[in-house]
Amino acid sequence: MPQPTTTPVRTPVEIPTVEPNPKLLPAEICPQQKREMASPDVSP
Amino acid sequence: MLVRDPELSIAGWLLLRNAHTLRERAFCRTLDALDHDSIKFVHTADQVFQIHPVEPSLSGLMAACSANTWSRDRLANVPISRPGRSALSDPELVPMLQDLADILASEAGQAFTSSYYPGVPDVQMPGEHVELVMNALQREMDREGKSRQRCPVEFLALPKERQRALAERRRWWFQKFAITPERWVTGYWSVWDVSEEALPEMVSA
Repeated sequence: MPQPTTTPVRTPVEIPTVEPNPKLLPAEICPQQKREMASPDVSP
Repeated sequence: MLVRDPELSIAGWLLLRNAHTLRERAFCRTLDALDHDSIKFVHTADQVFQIHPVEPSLSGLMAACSANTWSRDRLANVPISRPGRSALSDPELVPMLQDLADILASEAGQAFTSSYYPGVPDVQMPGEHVELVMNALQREMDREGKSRQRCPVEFLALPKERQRALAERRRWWFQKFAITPERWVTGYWSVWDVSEEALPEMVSA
């Protein structure tokens, strides 16, 4: 009796999703840059 | 604050732990050195002021500085800004106003992330000034985005009412540090006129 043939099963490959680089927020900048961002050359 | 801000003296850093109000915090940031019976300030580092505190506390030290006519006057006239460190930098707030800078950066971030971001009804300003402020805020974000190779948030892409709210809140916070548009023209602020409110929760001390 012939052996039943088996179809090779390929494990699906998970494609990693690339997270878009989040936008740079003001809270992420350093203290000195925060002092510059306060823009003391522009009136309150 | 676990790591000392390099702009803050050791004396100021130690005292800042006991500061509860914006005014007390601003005072601590002006301290350059404490000696046996005298004090020096960051913005007048070549001058020594004799003081005679009665209470061994931060408020006692402030009272002693207020009692000395000369030191009281120097603390009433602190520069608002200083020139940029390089030809490419913009002017920056003096380090004594670091709390204001931190608050404004937090406010600017919340304009993008908060679900509710109202303006300040008491603050009135023309649309041109709102745009001027947005461009000024963007300037530093663009520069930092370039150096980090990250796309910065865009203030002019905010809805108009959020842009206005941010500009109004910026003015409101400047006012808490005694810097009104009128005072701003003089280039100086006074420690004695800073609000006695606590540091807002949005800024971690």
